[in-house]
Amino acid sequence: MNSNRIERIVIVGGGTAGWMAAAALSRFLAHGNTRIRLVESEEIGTIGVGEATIPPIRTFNALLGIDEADFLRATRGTYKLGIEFVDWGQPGQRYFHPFGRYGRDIAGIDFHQLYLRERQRRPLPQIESFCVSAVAARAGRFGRPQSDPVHPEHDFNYAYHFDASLYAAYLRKYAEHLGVQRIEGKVEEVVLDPQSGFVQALQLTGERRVEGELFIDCSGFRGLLIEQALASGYENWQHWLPCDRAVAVPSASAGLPEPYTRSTARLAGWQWRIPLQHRIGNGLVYASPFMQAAEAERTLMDNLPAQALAPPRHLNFVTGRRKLAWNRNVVALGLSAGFIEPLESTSIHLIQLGIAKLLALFPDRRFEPLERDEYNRAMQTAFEAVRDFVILHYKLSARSDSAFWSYCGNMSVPESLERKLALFRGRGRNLRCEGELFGLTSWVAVMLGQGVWPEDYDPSADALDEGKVGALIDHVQGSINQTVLTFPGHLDFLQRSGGAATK
Amino acid sequence: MSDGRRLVLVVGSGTAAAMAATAIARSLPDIRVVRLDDGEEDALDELLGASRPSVRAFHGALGVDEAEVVERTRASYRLGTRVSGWSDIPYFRGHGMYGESVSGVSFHHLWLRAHSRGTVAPFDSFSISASLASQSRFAAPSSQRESPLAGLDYGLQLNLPAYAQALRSLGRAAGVEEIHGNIAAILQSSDGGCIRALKLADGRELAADLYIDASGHAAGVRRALPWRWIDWNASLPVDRLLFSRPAANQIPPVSDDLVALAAGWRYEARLQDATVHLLAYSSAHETDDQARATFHHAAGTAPRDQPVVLRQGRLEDPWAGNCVAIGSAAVSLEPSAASSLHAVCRHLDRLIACWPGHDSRATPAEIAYFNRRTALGSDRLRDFVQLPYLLNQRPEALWRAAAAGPVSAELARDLALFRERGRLSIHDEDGFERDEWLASLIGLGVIPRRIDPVAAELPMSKIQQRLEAISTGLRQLMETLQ
Repeated sequence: MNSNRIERIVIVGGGTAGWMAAAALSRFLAHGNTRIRLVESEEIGTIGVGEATIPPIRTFNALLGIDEADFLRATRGTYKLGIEFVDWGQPGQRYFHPFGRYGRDIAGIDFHQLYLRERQRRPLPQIESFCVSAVAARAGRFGRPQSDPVHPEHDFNYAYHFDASLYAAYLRKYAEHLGVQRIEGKVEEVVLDPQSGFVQALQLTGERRVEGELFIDCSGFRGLLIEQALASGYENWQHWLPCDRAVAVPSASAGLPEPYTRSTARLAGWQWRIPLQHRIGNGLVYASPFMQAAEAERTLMDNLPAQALAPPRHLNFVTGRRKLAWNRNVVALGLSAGFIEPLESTSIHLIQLGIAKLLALFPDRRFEPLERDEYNRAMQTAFEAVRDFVILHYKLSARSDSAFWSYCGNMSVPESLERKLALFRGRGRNLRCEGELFGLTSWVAVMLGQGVWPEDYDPSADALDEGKVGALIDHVQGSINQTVLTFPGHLDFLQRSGGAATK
Repeated sequence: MSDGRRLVLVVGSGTAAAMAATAIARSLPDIRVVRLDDGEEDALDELLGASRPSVRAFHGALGVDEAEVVERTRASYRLGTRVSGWSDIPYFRGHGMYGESVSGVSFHHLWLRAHSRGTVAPFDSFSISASLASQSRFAAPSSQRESPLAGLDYGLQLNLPAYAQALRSLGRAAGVEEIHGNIAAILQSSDGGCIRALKLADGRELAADLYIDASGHAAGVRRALPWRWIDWNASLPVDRLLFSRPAANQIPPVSDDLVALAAGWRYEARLQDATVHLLAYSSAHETDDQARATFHHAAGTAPRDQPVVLRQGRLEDPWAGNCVAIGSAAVSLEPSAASSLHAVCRHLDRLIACWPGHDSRATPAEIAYFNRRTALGSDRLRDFVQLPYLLNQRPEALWRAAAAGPVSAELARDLALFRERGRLSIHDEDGFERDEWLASLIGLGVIPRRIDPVAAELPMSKIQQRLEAISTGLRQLMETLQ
């Protein structure tokens, strides 16, 4: 038995991040020797911006032993096959960023290279026609991925849309069942150890004091512990990602829920549309130097799919990353660790990743710098990789119909992204690096979707017989269409698999 | 000599050049591949036929049938290396998996937990490669998940002269042209950044779009352009090699041997028709005559020729202008971790992935990518090779100095993290498998102070059960193979 074992963990804030942390820690430190408490106040509202997710959320749920149908019912969740981007290239253009893969590789040559080569011979449809998730999404259908070695192009991936506050409530029930204690209260003071500068306790309203050895800061943008108490510093990325405001509003459903998120570019930002079972989440992310709040609200309200169900809510944020997401005995998760706009639905994923790294590097009371440094290094890599991928969308937009889009088109981008762009522009190459979340399909989707046609394709594609490649491309498209026809409609699938909530 | 196609000139007489010319001709059509054979083989390179799983990927990409290579060139299967003399107990550095994970917890944490409780079988006794190697057996990996053979991976012990010859004939069939001649001069472009042509001793001039220097450690072509060498001898003190390759007629084992000695190490690989003996030593700690005696004593035969001088290190930029150095022309490492052919495979794979487009000009982005990733890969190879030097438990002067040698920031961090937590970081371009790092670290006696918190909380009975089940599975498999 390690005598330095951490026995008291205190989580501050009960939003999505707080309850995800509570659920995972209670599940994986379930030995009865660690007391986990979560302090939250009903007075402080939580921000539910992360209603759309990416496929790794399925791993998180699976590790907790959560049943998919039960989870979808409880959170009014829907399936998500990818994101449709509207008006991001030229106005009127659409493309799809699917969770999955394009076609199949031949002799180690990526399908998109074959596609680029074939396209020099004859007109081809958009590359999304060669991806099951994109074709199913467009058809409003959903089915289980099939892993068939004969038809590798039938495999795909998926994620969910859900109501983040219902997800937090769901995880709360889970965590409380495993012994997490919820304390209702507002933090009045963060008490630091005068010698070490470590957080010793939280002073709550009503003369209450909560002591602990490890504190997890899920208090949101303000970073109650990580910033206000420990001044860990924030790296500002607004010069690359100038959006700093959002206005959000739920609306009634409009027809059947689509199995995908939609992002529509607007004059100084973009609008999201996230279909749930019972309503649609809508919001406009925009840059305040280029658009007034009133105009943003009008833009959003004029472009709702159905009637609004609540008054619009306005939010401010600063895109960037906490320099030390782990500082002394405080680990920040969620918005207190950094923020990248939800364009690629990465907020919940970055929380999940932080939890996984924290578990893997779980400290003891000595708090070795080694673990902290490794954690901070890994999180920095992850944040920067997501940042680059999100910047890509802005940088590549062909729009020049507003000062905002002109700024984005002309701005300089991080060197890491510059290198990726140069490689893709040359011969459509995407060479993946350590810690990158988004893979080949994602980069190809956005590059081609926003009009970056490589000057040339990979010359090794020439090793393959033209006739065979052409026939394969047709075959892949046909077999994908066939497969999708066997899928039921999205709502149908939800009902059959037990994921639909009964009203 | 132009027929409108782009021309690639591969320079070299040995295995690396044969691999390069064949791979390029097979993967890239519409390219004229010429190999210039200057008859100057790199003696050391041509001795090192130990390859890692990367060679199988290389064969796969070429569409070469592995069984045929083994049969035709008298190669054999290679599961890993038996390592002894560095720490108290010998260990096996094998390919493939060591044990199996449980509920997301890596196997070595389970093993470490059991180790902390007292008796547990050695770490490598849970490796399928080590089990097979201990009985000199080989079996193909299985696609059935429950079989211990599912976790198996391997390389080949190649019989180099025969292998190079087989690749050359494959290359010729794919259109590789061969020219024999010696280089008299390398003509540069007016700005000095590219090669304009190679002038041969007989007066011919060979001009190409891209020059590939696969000539071995000398890297004479690449070094005609500006270059900088990054020297590693401070961290890897071995700088001399003696070797011999007596003929034999034997059933080869599935592993090779690496043994630490007072002033270096020796290596032995047995092939069907020859045995390779190597002695590597530090000239600061042993004279050539002493080394010769050591060699004779250990190998039972005298070394061939004079000692080879080994300068360990790498080119800062293997690719400059229109010239790319691959294999030992780009990175030179002592042959204790089968890195030589591995580097050739990785470099070729990367070169083909970055191949200049139809206009025959590589973009700066591609050249920078190739150089950056090759540097990363080379540095990781060096870190892996340095591991036994840093962690050795020997008393001699060479070894005490090596243990205190300079360490890269990455390796220092990795070692600290492993010592403290038993965790391994993942790095780009790491040519070694995770379990191979683990086998080395644990084999060299590093026992982490703490283990994964999830593993620490698993019931001991569940861990014992799992260890028992793996041992039983391996035992049963070995019985069926008898």
